[in-house]
Amino acid sequence: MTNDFMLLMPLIITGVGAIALMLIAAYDKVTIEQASMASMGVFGLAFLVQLSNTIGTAVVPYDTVFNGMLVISNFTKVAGLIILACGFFTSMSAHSYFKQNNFCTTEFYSLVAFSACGMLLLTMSQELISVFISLEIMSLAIYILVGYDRQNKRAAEAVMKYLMLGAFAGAFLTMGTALVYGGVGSTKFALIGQAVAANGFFTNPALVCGAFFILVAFLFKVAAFPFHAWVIDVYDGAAAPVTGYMATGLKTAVFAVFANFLVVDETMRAGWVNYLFYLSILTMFVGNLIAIGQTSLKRMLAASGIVHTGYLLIALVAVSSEHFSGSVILYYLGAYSVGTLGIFAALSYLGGANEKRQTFDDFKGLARVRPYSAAAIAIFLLSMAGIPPTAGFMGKLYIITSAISAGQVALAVFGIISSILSMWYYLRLIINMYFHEAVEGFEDTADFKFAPACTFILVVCVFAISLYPIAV
Amino acid sequence: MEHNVTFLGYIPILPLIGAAVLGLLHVGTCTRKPIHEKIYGVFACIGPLLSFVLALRVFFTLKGMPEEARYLTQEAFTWFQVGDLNISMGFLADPLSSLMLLFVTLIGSLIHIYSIGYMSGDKNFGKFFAYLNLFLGSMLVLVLGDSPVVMFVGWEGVGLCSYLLISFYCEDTDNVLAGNKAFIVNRIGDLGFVLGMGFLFWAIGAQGFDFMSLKANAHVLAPGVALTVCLLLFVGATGKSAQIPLYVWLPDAMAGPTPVSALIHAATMVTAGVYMVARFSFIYAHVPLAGEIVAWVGILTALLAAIFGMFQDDIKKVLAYSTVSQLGYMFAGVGVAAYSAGIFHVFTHAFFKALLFLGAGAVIYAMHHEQNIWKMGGLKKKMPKTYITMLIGALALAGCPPFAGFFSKDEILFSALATGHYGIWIVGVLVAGMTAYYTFRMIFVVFHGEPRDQEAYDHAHEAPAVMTVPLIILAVGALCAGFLNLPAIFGGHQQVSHWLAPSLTEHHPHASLFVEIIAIGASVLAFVIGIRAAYKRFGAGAEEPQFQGFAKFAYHKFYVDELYDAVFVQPYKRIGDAIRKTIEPSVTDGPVTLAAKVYMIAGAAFKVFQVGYVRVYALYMIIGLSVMSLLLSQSLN
Repeated sequence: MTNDFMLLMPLIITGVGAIALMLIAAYDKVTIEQASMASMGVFGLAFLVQLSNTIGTAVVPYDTVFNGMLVISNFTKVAGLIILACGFFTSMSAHSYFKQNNFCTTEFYSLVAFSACGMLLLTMSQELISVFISLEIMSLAIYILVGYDRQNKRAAEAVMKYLMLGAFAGAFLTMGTALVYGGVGSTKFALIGQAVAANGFFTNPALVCGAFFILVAFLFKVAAFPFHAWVIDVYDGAAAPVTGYMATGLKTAVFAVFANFLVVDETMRAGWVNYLFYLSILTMFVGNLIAIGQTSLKRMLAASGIVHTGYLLIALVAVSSEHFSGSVILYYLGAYSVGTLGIFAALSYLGGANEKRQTFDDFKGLARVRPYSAAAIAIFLLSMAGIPPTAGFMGKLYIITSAISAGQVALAVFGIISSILSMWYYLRLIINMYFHEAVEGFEDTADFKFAPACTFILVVCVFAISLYPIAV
Repeated sequence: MEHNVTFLGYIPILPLIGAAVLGLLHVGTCTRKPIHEKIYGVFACIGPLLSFVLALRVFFTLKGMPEEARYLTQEAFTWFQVGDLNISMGFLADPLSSLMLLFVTLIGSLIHIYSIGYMSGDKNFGKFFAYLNLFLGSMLVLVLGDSPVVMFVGWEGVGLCSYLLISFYCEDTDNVLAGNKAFIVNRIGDLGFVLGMGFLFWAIGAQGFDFMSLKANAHVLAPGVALTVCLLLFVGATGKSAQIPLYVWLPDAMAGPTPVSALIHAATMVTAGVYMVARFSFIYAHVPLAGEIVAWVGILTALLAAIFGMFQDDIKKVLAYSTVSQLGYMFAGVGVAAYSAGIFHVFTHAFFKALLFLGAGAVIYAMHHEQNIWKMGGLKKKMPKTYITMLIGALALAGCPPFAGFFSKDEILFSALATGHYGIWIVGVLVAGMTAYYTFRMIFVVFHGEPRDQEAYDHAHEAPAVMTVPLIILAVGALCAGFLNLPAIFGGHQQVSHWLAPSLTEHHPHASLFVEIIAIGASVLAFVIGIRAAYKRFGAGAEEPQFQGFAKFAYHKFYVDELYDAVFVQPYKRIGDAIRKTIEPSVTDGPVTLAAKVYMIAGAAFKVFQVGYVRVYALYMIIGLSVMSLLLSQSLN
């Protein structure tokens, strides 16, 4: 019982923190800076508890909580760590972001914490109803965060698109749940797995159809082809810290549940491998081609997020349900999150008032004016492009080696080609920053303490993670 | 006896931490008011001194062990693992590395202390000590590495530091070029090392790639492979230890500050090649041909460098060539399978050559950065401490009994003679005479006679205590180090050779007393002739000679630099130029530009699909879903 309690403690801290932040928002005396610090505190504490759960206590694999509705494994613990770190760094960059943008209220941080609750629950959910509920807890909070700037038409447009298409995808999830329940008589992953093991997968049309719809909902949330189109407009419309949060925390949570669902049974996973194979290739290449055409930095990053989804799909193809550790997926998610959060943290304080700096051209000559910031951004970009000795390189290496050892050589080759293509738009920003004269003066950013500190920590993380060995 | 210990790792780490701290302090303050030099000085010396204390602990721990099982290991962490190759960041201390550890940390510490005086007033004081600490840490990794790979990390680290410190006065283009030259020439050698390592791994690496496993498996090496490995590794050694044909960088490396020349380019780094050959003695000992080549390259280098040394007029260049020449002796020693003699010469050479360089540094310091010996003269009255200590160093270098250099050099020549390498012995004795000549030419011109530049002489003064005390300690070393390995003929027990014996694969030649006496007699005779020639020519003061004929040819170092430039550097540059001008724009750039255009068009095409209407996005989803459903219905039976 205490064990269960400790395992849920990070979730409880984040939930209580979210409610407390919502309550203190009623007091005028609480400034948004203080709320941001409180939010950092909540995430920091939850992170430390999760860390001690992960490394401190004796690890019980597949520990079940709430009668099997939530299942906690090393995989979910590390995914939780990534999510909590994303929340922490998002609060940090938001602290600086809202010194130049004035639409923030204290509730902002409460919503960040609420969505983190949803993400944490989602990683642990092993039951379709709780998957649905936690997905919606997460999504609703994110919808509001995307449209937080009510004066901004682009934000309003973004939230409308996201909400409509999200509802569309949510409908698939509900429908899929109903069909799966109709097919096997249970919504628990474990029982679905038993049913498939006993009677086979493709012999049960309701189950196949339901599982397919559920996959569609997940693919939508991670922006895989052909459900990717929303992501460009939505990422572009949201505030920089929110975009960073969506791109990292949300993706981590959905990939965690995606992987958990896929490995329920080997025949079921094998049934999807063909689809995921083509989807991952298409996702990578479509993402790359969209990214090449963009002039806005946030849109480029959104498109590159699609490409990274493609890589993660390769990793999903290569997982084995017999001994599923998910270390490759989590390593890649960690490496990707660090790079993405770092860039959005830098954009948070370099973007200027009302995010006036948006395009590649706006960052021309940054290296002359802000050498350290430019170097940090360059490191994040190189990590995302997969240049050694960064974490991104190791992540790609692990994914490609795992694909090869799973016999998916073609996927590995496509992954490498895609990674070469992606240099185009990552290096473009580096070239703009380093090989051009400054076109305009960048404001003095001396009074922004947190977002620069955040980029610094994340630069250290880029190299530290690359040195952290994992067993593939 | 417990062989696994935890303190080995601290020996290299302490100076490395020092380097990080000093570097950060320097970077943090270089644009503002600089930190007081004393703070840097203290931080810089802590690491080396503590390492020295730990080196003593290693030595006494090993001494307390039974002779045949004297080794300590530490496996810090698994560094990487690829296929059969499993490399851990491990350290190994055996008698060989413990001897190296002792003198590297001792001399390193002394030179750090000396540098506080020598470098005072330099605006990059902190940077200098950061590099020097980094060097010492890398050198200790090199010495302690338990596998060729870890050794290579140190090997590259010292190369990097050498480059950084040669180019330390980087305002002057010549110094930067000298640094580049050292680095590039060393890279050629490194290629040999890497290839040798690769061959070795291919042959016997699968059963473990640390020195102990390699030693255990060395007997299965095919003779051809063993020879290849030995020669490739020796190419690496010729780069790092400045042997023919890659010796050209070392004289130019004197562009660095003098303490750097003393520590890196005389006492420690340049002997890494000898250490490496001794480390791999378990392979070299079984390939006599490789040893033969090593010995001949070594002794010919010794001869060549001695010839150049006789005609130099820069005090540091004289010492630089003497270093190349002494390194040649060391290789001759390890080449004739007298590994302990070679290492013993490394050990004594470290003392007297560091002493000579530091003494030369004190002279240069006193003469306001004048290095030409023909502008000096009569300095013995002004700088008595420097004179006496340098004289001790010179006697040791020239091989005067009973100074350190005599015993170690004699050991090498005796081994050559006793193993029947008469040619090497004769050249070696000849070089010994030449060494005595050019060493005392330098001493007489600099310290004796009348001042040649009266104004500089009047301003000259003895160096401060922080510089002279290290000189005196080193002079004691140069005086006494030889007695540690006193041969039986003088009533000694050859402690150093016995100490090293468990690490090395060698058998000591048994020669008659007669041979031993001939070897000693020839060495002493050569020394006497050399010093007498120098005294006759320069003892009472001499003017700068105008070189003619062979002397001029030797003064210009046989035009080897110019030859290398014409044969290797210029054609290489021309090829590069040709590729840049013809092949690159027409052959390689075309497809690249074309690919870029294709991407751009494809990107523009895909941009069209991002129309921005939510209904269109929903349509994409429906189409995708429908196609997938169609495919899925095929799978259902």
